[in-house]
Amino acid sequence: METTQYNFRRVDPRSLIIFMGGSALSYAILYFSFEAFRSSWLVLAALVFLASSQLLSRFIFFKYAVRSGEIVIHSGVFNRVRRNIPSERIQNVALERNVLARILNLAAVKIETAGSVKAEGVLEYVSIAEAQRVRTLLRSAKADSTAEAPIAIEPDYSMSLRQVLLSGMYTFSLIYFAVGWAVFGQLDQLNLIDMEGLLASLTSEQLEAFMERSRRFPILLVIPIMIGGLLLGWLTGILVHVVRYYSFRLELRPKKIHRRFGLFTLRETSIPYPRVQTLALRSNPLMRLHNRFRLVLQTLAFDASERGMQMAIPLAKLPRLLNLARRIHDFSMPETFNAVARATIRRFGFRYTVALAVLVAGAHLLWSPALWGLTLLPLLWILAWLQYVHHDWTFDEDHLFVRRGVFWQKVWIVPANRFQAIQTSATFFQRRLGICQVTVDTAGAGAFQYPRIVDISKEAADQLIPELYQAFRRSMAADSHADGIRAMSHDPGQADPSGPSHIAEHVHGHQHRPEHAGRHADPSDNGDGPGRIYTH
Amino acid sequence: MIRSALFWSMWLLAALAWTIFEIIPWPGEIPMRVLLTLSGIVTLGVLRAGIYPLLRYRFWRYELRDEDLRLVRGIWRRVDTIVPLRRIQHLDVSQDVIERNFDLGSLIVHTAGTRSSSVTLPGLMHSEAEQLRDELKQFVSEPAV
Repeated sequence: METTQYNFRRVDPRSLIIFMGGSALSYAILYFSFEAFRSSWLVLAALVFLASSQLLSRFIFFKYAVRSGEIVIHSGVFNRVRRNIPSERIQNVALERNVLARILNLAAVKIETAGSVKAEGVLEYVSIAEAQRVRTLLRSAKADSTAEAPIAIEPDYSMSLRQVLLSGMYTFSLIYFAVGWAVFGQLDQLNLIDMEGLLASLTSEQLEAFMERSRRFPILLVIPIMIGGLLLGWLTGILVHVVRYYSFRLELRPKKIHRRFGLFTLRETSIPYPRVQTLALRSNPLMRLHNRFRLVLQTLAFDASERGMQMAIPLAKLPRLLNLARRIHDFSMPETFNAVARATIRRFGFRYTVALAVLVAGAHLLWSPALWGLTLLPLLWILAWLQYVHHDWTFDEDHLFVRRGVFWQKVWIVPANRFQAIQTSATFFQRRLGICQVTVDTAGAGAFQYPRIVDISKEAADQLIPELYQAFRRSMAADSHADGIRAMSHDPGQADPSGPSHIAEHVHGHQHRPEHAGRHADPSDNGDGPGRIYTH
Repeated sequence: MIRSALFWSMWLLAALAWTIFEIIPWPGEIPMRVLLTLSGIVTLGVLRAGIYPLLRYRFWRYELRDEDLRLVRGIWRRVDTIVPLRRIQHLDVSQDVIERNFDLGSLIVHTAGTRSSSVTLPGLMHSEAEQLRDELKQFVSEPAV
């Protein structure tokens, strides 16, 4: 049996404390939220159930084995899942430590592969030493990472608390809406706030007077609410930023980018340079005023918490940021950019006009003064003009640069050897205006934010497309080794019932089929392809 | 492709006729409103079932070149995609019930990209789709360097 080759281990027993902590917390919420959950028998039964299920599914029936070259995870109580992740398919081995894990000196190991939305393999939780052992073993399998320098390198970029706070000041978060709503709902459930009593007490004469005044001058009410909302958004923005990026640290090691950050949950991840697909400089007007930018990377691994883009540098002055960015991917920021076609103003202006007209017409039926909303029209045309001014592009034979966005602006840097497909599209209106949209598709993440040139003139596009394609072919010929996003041969004739999914996972009994093992180590693959997981 | 267009026309016209019959056995004279709605439906139906597939067919073009596959399609929004053959990850030939009836099929080309991670060539003859797949397959199975 193959099992003899593997040395299966369980997660650290102390992780049971964390699981139980989580379960107890969720039960406590139920207990306080619903009357029905407040019987002592039920509490006991639930605790026993939760404890045993956690014990079974996450400890007794969860085993893993790491060899240099792959990790095998066996899990599931009734459905036994055996999952092999060959290390060539692993994009990133991240260590994550939340507050409880940090107290108990444990870490979660998250194994990310390309083409997956969340981590493919998660070991929750193992001791720090074990986590490091797993990571080293999985990494050492790759021939190209043998000469990896040990830790304790001077970081290339790090942030003090002051700097994180400063960086947070440029952000804005509306998360408090969601949190406030949830908390308010809970309070209502708990009857901690007597809503009716509260309303009754508010109908005093003072309030009447206040209401009367605000009815007459609604601006008195609207302006403080808006200012308060903005202030709250700004403060929560800082808070969220600090929690996420506290003690941010970036090391540009010879083979990979190493990052470490977080206040409560400490994250430690590394990205090998070839995995970087595109780079983007993010900014808002205030940041641009201070010449400060953020650098984010689009990589093959999909990190849902960062919306597909990995933060590389939360905040830095432009020259310093470009210096660091150049060490991640060699490029030089061009001096001049080409504007898109002026016709874009007309197209967007027209689009906004129609949208406003529909909105106002609808509102007018309910509330006639809504007609005044039409006075916003010049503002919308100014917005369309601003969009034109803030959107331009350039191509320097190796990289496509696209700048777009009035408020949240992005400058995309797309290397030609990362192109997956090149697409032009033009709607009926665009064709009439002689303009079109050019999109370059890249691998990996970022389904919502992607580089595209909206409303480039048709002539410019006709000239650009062959240039892009030529550059792509040149880059392929030049460094066909460094790239080659290619999967193993896959016979499409035998249509896989699971469809085009990158992950073929089969759940079944106890048979092992060792012949699959040969497919894990495909020497022709340098690991850039999407994650393929073979389960025995 | 023509065949699929015709088939869709029939399909939609049948649905349309059903809708009409649903309304006609209504007792008494038919009010103007119903007539207007009906004529609207008929016009839309003719557009959707008769003209749209024809246009769709007319504007759907693909071309297999030495190093890439080029697809041009779209009525309202015309899209021109270049998929370099070396970027193809894998290929599917699909055939649904209706397509099977007419011996039609689609070829789906998958890339690692995000925005156009799969492009579909619809309404090919099934044999044609398979032939194209076999042609493209060479590029997929070619060993990576």
